[in-house]
Amino acid sequence: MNSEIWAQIVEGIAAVCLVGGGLMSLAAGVGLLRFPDLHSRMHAATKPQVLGLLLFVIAAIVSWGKWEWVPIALLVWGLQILTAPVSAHVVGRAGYRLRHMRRDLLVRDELQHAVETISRNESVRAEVSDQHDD
Amino acid sequence: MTVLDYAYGITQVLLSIAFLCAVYRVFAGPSVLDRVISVDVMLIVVASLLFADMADNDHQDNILFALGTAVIGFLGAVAIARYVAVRSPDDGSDAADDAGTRHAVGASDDVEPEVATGRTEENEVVEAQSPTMDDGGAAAAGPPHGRAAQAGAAENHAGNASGAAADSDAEQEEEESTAWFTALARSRNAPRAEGDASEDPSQQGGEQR
Repeated sequence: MNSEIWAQIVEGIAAVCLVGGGLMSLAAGVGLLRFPDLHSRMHAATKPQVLGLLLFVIAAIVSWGKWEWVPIALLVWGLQILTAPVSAHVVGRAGYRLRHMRRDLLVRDELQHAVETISRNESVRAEVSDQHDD
Repeated sequence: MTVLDYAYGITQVLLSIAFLCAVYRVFAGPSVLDRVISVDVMLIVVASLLFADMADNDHQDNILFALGTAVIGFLGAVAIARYVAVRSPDDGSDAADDAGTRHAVGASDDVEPEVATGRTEENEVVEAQSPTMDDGGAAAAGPPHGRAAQAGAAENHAGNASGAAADSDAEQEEEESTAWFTALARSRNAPRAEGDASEDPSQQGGEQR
């Protein structure tokens, strides 16, 4: 009887984690639809997704009930949480550099100060050669 | 049906809605970067569906596919975001962006021919679909033409001094956000170029790109 109740508890936990992960991915999708700018969409696309994937991994581990597959499943999630900030950063940086952003939605642009400071630095420009264009 | 089966059904519906939202963003995203993150969302949704199926049906068949999907999503997003160069209706601004991306890549000479060829493909795709090159588009229209013309003229003249003077004029007119990156990219390319440019800098400029 104890194992029956335990099996039902485990199943309930897995079910809750499944639906929770689905809601997280739904939040990511709705964020992609509703946010007005590339950078805010990038936030919506990467952050809830990783948490949702963690909930899915937990649901799978709990449902299996064995310890063998735990390292591989956690490896999948660990890879995703290591790479999601990197991809978000690279996309954001490319968007900033290509000026594909809405500046009217910005509260504060902290990179602009560094960009202007280095742009005014003459020592950088002294080394400029003419062999950069195609 | 058990509780887990009901939960799995609800999860499938939620993930399908998220997938359709991402598909809409692929269709409507004003730039290739929007589409890249939407495709990344789609790939993680696929990985999540694989895990949900393994949780409900109690098998571990697809775990390696989930791993591979997540890795491929990351690699694709980073690769496209590093090499993208959105071209506005004039031709000049992509030179600045390409120099900036070369700086991001690490500015090795092996990468530069591949960057040039890859960039042309993506520019042709992106060019027709980038209406939102916003306030930077109009400002960059004039000076990149000037810089492209001066770069073409500089190839026929020897010496880095004339190129530096022409570039500094174009850079001051350029927007600040790309001038910083392009200046850094050129400063990194300069030592190698100066070593080769002692004989004939105009030919070196043509060969290195």
